[in-house]
Amino acid sequence: MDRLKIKKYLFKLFKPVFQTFKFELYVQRIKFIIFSVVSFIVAFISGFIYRVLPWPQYSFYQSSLWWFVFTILFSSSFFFSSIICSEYKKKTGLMIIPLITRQELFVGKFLANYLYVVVFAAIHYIIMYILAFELYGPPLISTPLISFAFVTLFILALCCLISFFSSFMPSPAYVIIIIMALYVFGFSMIQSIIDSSIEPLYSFSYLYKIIIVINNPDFSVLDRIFEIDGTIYWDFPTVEGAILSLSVYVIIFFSLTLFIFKKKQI
Amino acid sequence: MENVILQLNHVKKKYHSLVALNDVSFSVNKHEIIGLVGPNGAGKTTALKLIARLLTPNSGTICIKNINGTLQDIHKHSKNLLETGFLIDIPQFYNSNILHLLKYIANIRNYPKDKIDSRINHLLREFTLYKWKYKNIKTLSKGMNQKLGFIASIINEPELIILDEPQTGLDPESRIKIREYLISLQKEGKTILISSHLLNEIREICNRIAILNQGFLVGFDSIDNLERKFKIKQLVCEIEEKIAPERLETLISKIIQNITKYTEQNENEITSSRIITYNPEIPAFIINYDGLRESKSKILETLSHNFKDDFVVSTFYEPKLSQIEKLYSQTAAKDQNKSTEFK
Repeated sequence: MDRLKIKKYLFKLFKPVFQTFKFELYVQRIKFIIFSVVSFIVAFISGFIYRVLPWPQYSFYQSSLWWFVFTILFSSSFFFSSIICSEYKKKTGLMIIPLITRQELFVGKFLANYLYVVVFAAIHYIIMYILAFELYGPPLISTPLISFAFVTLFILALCCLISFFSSFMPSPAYVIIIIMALYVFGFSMIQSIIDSSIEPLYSFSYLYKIIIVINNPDFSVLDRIFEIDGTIYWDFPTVEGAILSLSVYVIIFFSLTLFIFKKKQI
Repeated sequence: MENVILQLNHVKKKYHSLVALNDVSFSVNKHEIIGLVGPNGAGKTTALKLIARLLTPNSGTICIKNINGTLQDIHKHSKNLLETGFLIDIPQFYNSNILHLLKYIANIRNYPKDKIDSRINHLLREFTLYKWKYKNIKTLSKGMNQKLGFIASIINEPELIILDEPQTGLDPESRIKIREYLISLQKEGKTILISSHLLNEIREICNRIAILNQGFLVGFDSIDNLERKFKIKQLVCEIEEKIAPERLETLISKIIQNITKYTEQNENEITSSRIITYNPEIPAFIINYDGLRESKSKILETLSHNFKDDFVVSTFYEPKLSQIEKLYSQTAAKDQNKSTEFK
């Protein structure tokens, strides 16, 4: 009886989130199709270019992932920049917010959009694997799977950061500009101001490097730090450092977004 | 008290320095249709947004009955409240087709799954949107959007329905349809709070009206009682021939002397109009009276008998719409004057 009650309670609790998730998948389907095609083309072209070079298998993956970060950035920005601010800007929130709690709405939308962005990443990795199989033949190295696991965490952290900006920015365009600027200039500017002995675990561009470097089978013995003229340069983070930093990003910005959304009036 | 389904207690809402609602209190009883009227910027939409939890009040409480039958502060606990449907402002929808949107709304409101399709089909047929069922919402006209917003607000058969100008952008036929539908919902036992500028619609369907102006609730009662309160109960006495201008002043004084006990003793505070005015275009006398039924017949009797040498009464009636319009516009004008004085 108690189990049945708990089941019913959980069903009631998650139903609005699940329904929002399903509806958001439907609403964003056109964007998804467009980005899937783009993701496929980018992965195929980059893989095709790098396969002509006589590199070992892991280098092929690493090269292909250098530009992949921009696919992640663009797709995450386009899917998440409007996650909250469009409810206010387009006034769709007037219809939906009275019927569902803001938390349920946000979580449902977040999961649907996150799934789409992860699917784009998966498309990239699948194409990489297919091209690698064609080029190198079996056996394929398994490190890209670890790299993909990091990509999913990286995307999660990035989406939380974008959602945070979306919770108070007036329009999705501002959010996209801020995220791009932050990635391209912002983090490196912060890095140049802060003491070089401090590991830049706050920087998304630094954290992304683990996704690339982890493909190297000798990853655990590679030098992470080097020094030129007294300045310390950080090449890539440790597995623990990357997981911890990305998790902190997720917890802080997801909570902040929920808090702001809950307080925001329409 | 146990009949109360929605209650606003001393609600105040400020947007920075602008006070949108100031100490507004009123209760809505079960099965009632309450009209919320007032000029632009009076605070109607703010009040409805507060009830919809889109805004949070600066002070005061808003309570809705919960499933256990007790009033619950919606800004403290939003779970287990009676089912409520909302149409706030001009509805804006997601990039979806009608069917998907309505299914989504019905599902998140826990409407029985096996009844969702039939409910959607029924409402779409009722409001002539059925053939648009699979169309993208972006292809709908403004009026269709409004109808869809109305359908979305009642899809889950809510007990309490909050509607913000539901008839905006609708053609006359659709307006009548919505009006009739609201009356049928009331008969089913639903409670409705509706804001509108269409005063004739309000007059037709509402049991009581709340008049808001510049954030203040300036009146909340049945239309008859409000008219009496604001001394704007009027009678129109149409006569067959025009009165010569030189005779008019004396004749009006004579009429006032004869019917003075049935009229308001003081000049109308709200309208600042005289007890009797003469409209030469109809021609007719417009009389502000005390609103009592017996006074109405006495006035008619007096005018017909005592003044049979001066004029012949052709029609004698109490205007419906003009009075509520007057009530609406002149309460607003009164407060407008006040605010101008402050400036």
